[in-house]
Amino acid sequence: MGIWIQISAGSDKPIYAQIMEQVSQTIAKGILKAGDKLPAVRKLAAELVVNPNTVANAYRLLEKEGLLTTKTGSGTFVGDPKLRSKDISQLNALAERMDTLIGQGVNLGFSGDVLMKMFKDRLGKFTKKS
Amino acid sequence: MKFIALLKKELRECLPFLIGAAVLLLVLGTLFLRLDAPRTYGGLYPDFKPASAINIYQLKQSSSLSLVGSLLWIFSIALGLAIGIRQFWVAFYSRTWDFEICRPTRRAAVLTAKITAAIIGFVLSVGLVWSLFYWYASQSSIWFTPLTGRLLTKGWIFIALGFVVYLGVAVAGLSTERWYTTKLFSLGLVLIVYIACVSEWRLWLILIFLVIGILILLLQVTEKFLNRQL
Amino acid sequence: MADVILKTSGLTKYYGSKLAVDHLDLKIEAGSICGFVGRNGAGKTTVIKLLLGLLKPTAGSASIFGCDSQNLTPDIRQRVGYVAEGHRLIRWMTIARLEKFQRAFFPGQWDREFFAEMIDYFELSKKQKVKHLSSGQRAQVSLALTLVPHPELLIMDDPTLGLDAAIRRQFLEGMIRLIMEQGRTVLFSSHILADVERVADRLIVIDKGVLRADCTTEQFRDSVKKVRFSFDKTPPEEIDIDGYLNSRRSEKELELTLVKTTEQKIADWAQKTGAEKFDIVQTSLEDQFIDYTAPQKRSRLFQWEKD
Repeated sequence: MGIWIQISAGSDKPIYAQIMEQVSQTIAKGILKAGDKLPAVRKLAAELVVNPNTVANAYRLLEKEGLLTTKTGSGTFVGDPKLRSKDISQLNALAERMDTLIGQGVNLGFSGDVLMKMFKDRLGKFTKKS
Repeated sequence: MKFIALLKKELRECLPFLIGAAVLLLVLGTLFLRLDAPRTYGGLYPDFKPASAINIYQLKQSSSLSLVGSLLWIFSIALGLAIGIRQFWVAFYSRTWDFEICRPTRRAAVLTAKITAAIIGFVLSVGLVWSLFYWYASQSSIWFTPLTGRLLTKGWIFIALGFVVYLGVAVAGLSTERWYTTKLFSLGLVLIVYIACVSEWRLWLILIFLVIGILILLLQVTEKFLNRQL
Repeated sequence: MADVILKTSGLTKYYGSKLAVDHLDLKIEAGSICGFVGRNGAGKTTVIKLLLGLLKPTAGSASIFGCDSQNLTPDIRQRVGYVAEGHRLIRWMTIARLEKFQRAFFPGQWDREFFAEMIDYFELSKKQKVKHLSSGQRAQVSLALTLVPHPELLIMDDPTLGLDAAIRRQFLEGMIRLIMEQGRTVLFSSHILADVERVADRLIVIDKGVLRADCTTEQFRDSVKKVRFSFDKTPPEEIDIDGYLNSRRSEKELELTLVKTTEQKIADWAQKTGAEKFDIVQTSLEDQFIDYTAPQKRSRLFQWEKD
């Protein structure tokens, strides 16, 4: 399954984290569905021109979160959504990012209602496909 | 396999000098022999007086050949300088030295290839041409008595002298001394050998000087080459 | 446990009275790409040359594949690929001639198709003479000549210095391609931290001849932290926290670069000094490197007046 991942080396965010984020988003947006096969570690590493260990690490961490599963010999696949763990640290991380967005919105002068509507609209784009 | 590749590279790099020296020697030498140019060099080069002179023509012919001999002397030294500089000076300035040394082969092999190439170069360019001249002179119907081999030997001694100059330049190039006076110290040794070669001494004495000089220089070249740090 | 491919033991090198490498102890195992970083003149090239036997150490030793660097056999040299900055190839040779020359030194290892493929990809012709190539093209040829024998160990000493981004990328691709083969190891020095971050899984930091770090890239990124403390008064003058490297201060904020500390220690210090809050700021590898190797206690060249 071909997915487009773009990484930016030399940025603040470690590369493995960037890969994780983009794979997560791809899954969240429904482009990759449960059971779909992810590109092989070596293939993705060669494409992105990064160390295979970095890709392997990203896959491994996503597997820990329950987003991916590995079948030895066959590859890495998108996991069953019901098996995805939702732990507190993830919610905290999410909360932090929400703070950034909300803070920006408030500073720009948007009202709570406008922000809320925006949030609902964009959420609709994700949930529509899943 | 590896050595051959090195040798081929070294020969190819010296080729312009080898061809140049050989061709020029051939052309100018032929000119001198034909034109019977009068001697103008005075005592700058040794006299090739044959052991016995039968007639005036012989004397004259041998003097022409000795002019070729003086050309040989000049060209051998020039060739020695050229090959020495090409192999041991140019590499440093153009920084290809690193590439040459970092070969997956013993460092000694790189040096052996260079020296072998130099020897082959001397033998096949000026050596061959000189021998050719000697052979031609000996075929000449004007001669009543054969040329002495001593003339041929003297010529080869000059060629060997060119090789000594080559080694001297090599040692100077490899030397890591910063002052040019100490760097060119090896050329002092070369001078000593040169003086010996052009003297009127007995042949075996000259040969001893030559052999010892070459051995010392070879040892110096080897030691400096193998120990030189990048 | 992978084999130790490169090893140094108390490696020391003096140039006259100048100390270039100071008792370096290094161990690099097979299968990793090691990024070798340091300021200009930190000693990277010296270490590499000592490893390859191109320089003699003043003290200590270095070895490759278990063989002492001063006595590397041709067999061992055949397993090592080495590219250095400058890429001085034999100028009068054509690329084809150069291939033949190089091939003679790697009997049984030369991959003709691979070489042709690379030359084709670089849009070069085998008939071109080296002296007519640009510096970028010479680098490309060097890369091809070095990768084609499939070396077990690839050492690159800042090979892309001054070259354009596309060529830099090609070198990185070459490294990635090599590392995919079984048991290969890469050691490369570079000033471009983004490149190092991309491909290196190990980081070796050298500063003034001294080994400052030898860990995974991840560990380094986790260890060098930038923490921003917010105060409601003037931040404290004295900074007595563990792992303190350098600082930057403004009226109400103090930004500290800390090394190998824990969040607990940071929290404790924040409490001790009465900071209102603290944020651990994530920075780029380049910033981390600069902070890590900056002169002690000051992270900026210019100190602005308090306004």
